[in-house]
Amino acid sequence: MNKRAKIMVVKYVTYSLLMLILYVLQSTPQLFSIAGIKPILVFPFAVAVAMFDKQLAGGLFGLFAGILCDTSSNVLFGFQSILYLVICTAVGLLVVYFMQPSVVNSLIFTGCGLGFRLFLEYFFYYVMWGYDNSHLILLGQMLPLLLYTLVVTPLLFLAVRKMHLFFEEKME
Amino acid sequence: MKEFFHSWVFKVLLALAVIMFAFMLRATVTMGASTVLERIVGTITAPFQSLSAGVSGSVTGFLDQFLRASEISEENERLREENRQLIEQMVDYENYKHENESLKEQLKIQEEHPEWEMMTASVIGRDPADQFYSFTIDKGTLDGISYQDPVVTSDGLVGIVSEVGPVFAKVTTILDVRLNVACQDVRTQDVATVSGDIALSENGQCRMSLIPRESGIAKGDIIQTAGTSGLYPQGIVIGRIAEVGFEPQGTMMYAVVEPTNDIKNVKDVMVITSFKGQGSSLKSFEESLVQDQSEASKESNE
Repeated sequence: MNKRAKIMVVKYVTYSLLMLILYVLQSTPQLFSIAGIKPILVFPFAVAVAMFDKQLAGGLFGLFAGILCDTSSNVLFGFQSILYLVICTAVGLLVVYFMQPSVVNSLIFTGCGLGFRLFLEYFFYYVMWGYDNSHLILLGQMLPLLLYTLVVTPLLFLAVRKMHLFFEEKME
Repeated sequence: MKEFFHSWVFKVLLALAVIMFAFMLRATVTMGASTVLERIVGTITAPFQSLSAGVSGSVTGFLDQFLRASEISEENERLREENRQLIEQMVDYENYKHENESLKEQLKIQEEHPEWEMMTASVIGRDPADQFYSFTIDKGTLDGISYQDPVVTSDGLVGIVSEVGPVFAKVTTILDVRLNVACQDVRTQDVATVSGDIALSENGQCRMSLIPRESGIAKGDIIQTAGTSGLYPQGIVIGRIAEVGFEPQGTMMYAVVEPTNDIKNVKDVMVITSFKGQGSSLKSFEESLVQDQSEASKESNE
């Protein structure tokens, strides 16, 4: 194994461990909770990885984030895994062909991706079953969750960028 | 962009998506049983979550001592305990009263108490995206926990095990709109259903529905499990009635129930792994409810 390959392995092992730590933090009861709302940490992290490491790594980390979220979630297992895999692959492709990895773009990707996932859950789990006042879920729970996640997105993006540059320097 | 769809990377990602879709299909068929992938991930993450929850709980508790006056905390704890004891006494009183009357009528003296087997568990994870405060506990099939075991605290009912892995289990709370619990008013003995309500869940409340119009149900009444579904033992306190009203159709009544548990912040729970009547058929209860409902509709039409 050459030096570059070794650094790549160290980089992705580090990312995986960080993803695991972020998952534990996001699912820890009451941690980061504001008025009962907690942010999702693993998805913005996977999006940031997709922005710097292109579609394959992005897709795989999206899948990893989705599996972790599915494990603690009450929605159907696989729902978030597939969505995050597709979204992060798309983010990787968009950055390769059309867009730059920047804080603003990370906010756009995370906002649109998470918004899409929450809307699908809202539609398939509440609207379709005709529950009363289901709009309250959207406005009172999902929207604050999305906004709170967007607040922490730049921090995760900057952390991934820092790590990416660090490993790139090592490889040169 | 076209090259991507012809590349091996696309094929790998597509294969992974197909595998996940297969897991998703399997999960729809075997509701309650975790998939292999979920078990592996859950088994790896559960100890870390447990550690993190412990540390977080300790830190929160430590900071609380400074942020809130310790006297108020003690007073609050004492009042909660007193309140719990009073509710227990009231439930006991109403239960004994009712039992006494029915025993007198039937000339039976012997009473039977169901034996519950219980397992204590700690809350180790809460999904940030869940709207009804579902959580993960640190016990699973290896500890004897099964799908649809009731979850309680000393204050009353919390929810039910909705999915179980080897060392973890997911609990759906009574605030969830997808959970229905057969219940009864301790005072009037009216049987109805308690379920989550989107609007009420924000305040930590749930809704009692299918209450007959002629019921004498009133604000302040204590609600307990009816035990007719075979999912919950009879007599677990669910909460107190905070408000009573008529359904829009006018044939039935509803009530807003204030659970005795602080479901949003519960940290330690007990899982009832075995009780008398567990898994018995729901049919008779459902039939009686439907009958009651149709009778009430007929009466209102007349």
